[in-house]
Amino acid sequence: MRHNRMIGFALTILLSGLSVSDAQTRGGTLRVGGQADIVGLDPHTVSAASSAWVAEQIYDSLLTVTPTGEPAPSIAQKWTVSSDGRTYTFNLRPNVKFSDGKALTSKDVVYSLKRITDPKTASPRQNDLGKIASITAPNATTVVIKLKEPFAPFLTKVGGSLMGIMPSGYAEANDVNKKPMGSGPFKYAAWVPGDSVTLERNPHYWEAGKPYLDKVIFKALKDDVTRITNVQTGTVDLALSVPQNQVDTLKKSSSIKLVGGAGTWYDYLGLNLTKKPFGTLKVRQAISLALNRDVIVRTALFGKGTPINCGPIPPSHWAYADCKVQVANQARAKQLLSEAGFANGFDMTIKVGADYKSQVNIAQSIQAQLKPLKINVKVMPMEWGSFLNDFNKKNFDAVVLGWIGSVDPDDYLYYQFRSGEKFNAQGFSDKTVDQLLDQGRRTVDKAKRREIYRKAQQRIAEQVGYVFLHINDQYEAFRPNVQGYVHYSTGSLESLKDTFLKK
Amino acid sequence: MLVFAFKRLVSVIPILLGITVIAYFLTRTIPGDVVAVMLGTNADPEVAAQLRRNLRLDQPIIVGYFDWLAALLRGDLGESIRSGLPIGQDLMTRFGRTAQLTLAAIVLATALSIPLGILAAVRRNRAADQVISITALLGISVPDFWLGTLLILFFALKLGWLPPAGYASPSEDPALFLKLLILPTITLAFQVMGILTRFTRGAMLEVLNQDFVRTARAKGVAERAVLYRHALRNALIPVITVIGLNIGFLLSGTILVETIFGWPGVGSLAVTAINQRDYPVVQACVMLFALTFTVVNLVVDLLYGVIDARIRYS
Repeated sequence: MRHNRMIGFALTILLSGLSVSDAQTRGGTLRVGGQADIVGLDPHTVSAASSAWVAEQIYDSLLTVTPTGEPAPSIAQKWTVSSDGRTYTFNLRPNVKFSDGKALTSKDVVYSLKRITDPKTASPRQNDLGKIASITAPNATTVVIKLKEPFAPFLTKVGGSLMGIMPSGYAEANDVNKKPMGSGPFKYAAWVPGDSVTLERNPHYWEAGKPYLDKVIFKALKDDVTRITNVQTGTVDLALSVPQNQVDTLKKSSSIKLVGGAGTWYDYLGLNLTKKPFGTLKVRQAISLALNRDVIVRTALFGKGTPINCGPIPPSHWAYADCKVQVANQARAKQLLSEAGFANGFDMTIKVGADYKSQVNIAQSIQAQLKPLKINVKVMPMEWGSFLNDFNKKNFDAVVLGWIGSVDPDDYLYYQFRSGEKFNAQGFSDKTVDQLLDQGRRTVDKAKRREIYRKAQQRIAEQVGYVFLHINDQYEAFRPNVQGYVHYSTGSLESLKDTFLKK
Repeated sequence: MLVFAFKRLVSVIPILLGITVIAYFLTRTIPGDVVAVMLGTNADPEVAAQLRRNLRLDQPIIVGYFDWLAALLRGDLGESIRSGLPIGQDLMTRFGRTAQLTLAAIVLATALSIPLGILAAVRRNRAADQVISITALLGISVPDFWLGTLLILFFALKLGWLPPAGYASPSEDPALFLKLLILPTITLAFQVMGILTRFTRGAMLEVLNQDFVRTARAKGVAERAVLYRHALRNALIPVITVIGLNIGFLLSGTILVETIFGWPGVGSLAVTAINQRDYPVVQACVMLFALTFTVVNLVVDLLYGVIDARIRYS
């Protein structure tokens, strides 16, 4: 028995050594400096980024999503979609085990997905899977999901990092926030609230030889300067959320490596369409044409962003639309404003979260740029909880906010611009847009979908659903001995299973 | 003395009870709630309502108060809404860490400022006095976050002598604990030192002009004895009050320093809890701060009697 294990161990080392050209080193502890402490580890209910980073190391989802946004195999190694786009059949990998060694079967998948869609769970992703008719497990390695109507984003949604699979019945018997259990590359070890979370290698992880690291420690380092100093002095190996004003300095440093680029997080100016005068299209258009987005990126973001003129989907994405609708044109802006009867301008207040310093700067830049139109802007930085209170009660003229676009074009558009939808706080409503967005959900053919979303974005830009501003860059800084780490534009830390420390 | 201490202790009870009312109702009236903060800008109303039911935030606020008070009297501080962990244990651990930082700062500040204050008083209006007074003024005026950041940049980044931030338990790694303690302690102590130095100087000057000092000198008592046995002993009374006040101030004032140096104490816990509207944690922190202030004041009152013969409680 012992002998066999030794042979198995030797074989594993040999195979993992052969499978890659640059030999990965096993072992070691990776210390990651993030902006905040976790708020719990139940993948189905958390929404904080700090929790998501840790949860995605502990859990596997049915599928995964590549850095470029395509669904890819994970626990399910194959899947088929019926021709009517309503039935999805997933074939599970046979050898997947939870970190306690018990096998993961289709029963666990059914349990976990049902838990997400159960209103009692109060999962923020309750409606993300579309309208589900049934989730069944015909045998131990097959899961069949039937939808009431076609839902094109289904695969990337099911592959989302917070659609984690846990053992059937687990949440009823355990507090998932404190004692998570998944089949991901790492397993939970300890949490010192306010300080750090420690994960250990999952010995039963299904991907041969992975992960390479023995331990990952996520440290909460709120202060930007502290977080960067920690990676510079080697107290942490990887620092997340590098502030935009530090990027150029750090790029010059020889002891630090920097990866990143345009992310999926964009900023916008949201106008309350139910309030005067923002219900008037010409007023909205005037504001959107008065803003020079290059200047905003240069001054408020230290040049670390990409202006957007036609909807929020980034240029690297397959559904990007390049219409130049919301582009600075001061003369046209003035003309539209006087046509709308506001040649003498008006007063307005922009509310913004005080903690989000770049957004405060953006609001101030907007304030300066609207002055020539005689629009008198008051910028009001607010404590986040109070801001949300006003935002949810729709008690605002305008807000500067960010949105994490995620993966599918539907993520970027549906809930914000479909009439009466839940995140449409500005009160935007347009029949053409509604039709296009519904059509986009039902169309599975990618080329046709691309066309639909191009039209939708152009229409939204013309109707000024939001005043789109820019996509933010995102960077991570790490020590040179950290190898195999890959930057995801969505901010995902999925590549930690491939990361190793060179000695 | 014992009777006095007992009476003072009993008088604390209605104060603490009053604070429970303030802590609970004020916390619950901050605009925005835990559910809104948990869900952020993408708050689905359906999900929010369910979450509110799950967290029992849909019950009347007054019922919530009495539930909380009853649990508090049993010594149960409840659980954090965000993490689900019991608060008591976490709060004590964090309070211990904040106390380590506060005590280190107060010891350092006292050890430096009392001799400096005396020196400044004795050398009044001469070079030493001016240097000390300017340093003290700097200490009072320089903001914590600025000094802290500067110390990190210089000692951690440029010289590489000390780690920039973090925490280690003194029982597990005493050497690392001490290294990590140095920079935040200096940051905190600098401000207190400024205040204490000025107070010591002022108190000494006042005492030195009084008749009993003149009498002592006239009797031919040595200058050292005049300074330390007669003057300092009397000058210390206001200084002790200020030290006491500063312990309370430091315990709550470590918030910024804890954030900069990643010191997981009670200050950073309180700030996070307020930002997240984690009501039970905020309430527990307020109660702890109130209790600390009360106890420190009590100790200061009792110390007066020990130091000053004129104040004897019987």
